[in-house]
Amino acid sequence: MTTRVLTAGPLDAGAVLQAVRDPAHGATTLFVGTTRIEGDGGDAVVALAYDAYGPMAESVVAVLVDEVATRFGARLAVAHRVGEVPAGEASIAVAASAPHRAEAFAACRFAVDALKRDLPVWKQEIRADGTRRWRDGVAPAIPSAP
Amino acid sequence: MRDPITVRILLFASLAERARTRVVEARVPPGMPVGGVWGHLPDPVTEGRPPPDGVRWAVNGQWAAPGVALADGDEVAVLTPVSGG
Repeated sequence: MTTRVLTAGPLDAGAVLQAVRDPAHGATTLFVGTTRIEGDGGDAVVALAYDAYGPMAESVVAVLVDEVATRFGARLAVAHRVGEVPAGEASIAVAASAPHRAEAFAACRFAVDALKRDLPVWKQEIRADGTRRWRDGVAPAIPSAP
Repeated sequence: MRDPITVRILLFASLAERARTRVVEARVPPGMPVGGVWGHLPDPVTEGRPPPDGVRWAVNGQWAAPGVALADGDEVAVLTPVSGG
């Protein structure tokens, strides 16, 4: 994987797909997570703002790339947006390629689940009335030392 | 008694907002456990309470158990439960 994980501008899912291209791999899966409108009126969430611990996000993904290669024989690429992301735009893109589809699907799902648990990124809801609120994360299964 | 050491404490998201800064420098006892940095954060962060459930720690960019001993110059990140994606 050669692309940087965090990016401040719109995500390029094509570049994420390109990063896992491999002539020996016959299957590629792509997951794109987009911000979505929730609620209505002044309470409606119209955007999300993401904060991140950049250097550690890069190292978490580097470890995950190796793990996915070992477990599934798959290549993995990840891009996550930081800063403000309006509803409807992509906040994360994850691509996995493998020789066959079962491994490609499994690798992508495994990676997305791991990223939701371990990637040091935090989201803040921005509501139509201009108020902001950090969204609670999910407490990890092993709270102190994964 | 040995001299105190200096550590940099990195804060993100809600903790940085409450602290009004993303970096806190602290002089702490040598060998202090990572989790002990919580007591060196500004009051608006700790509110006089122990770290919230689910907080994890990293030292110099690597996950660390709260009991790991700190050395001079270490960079400690206080990581609340993540919510990316």
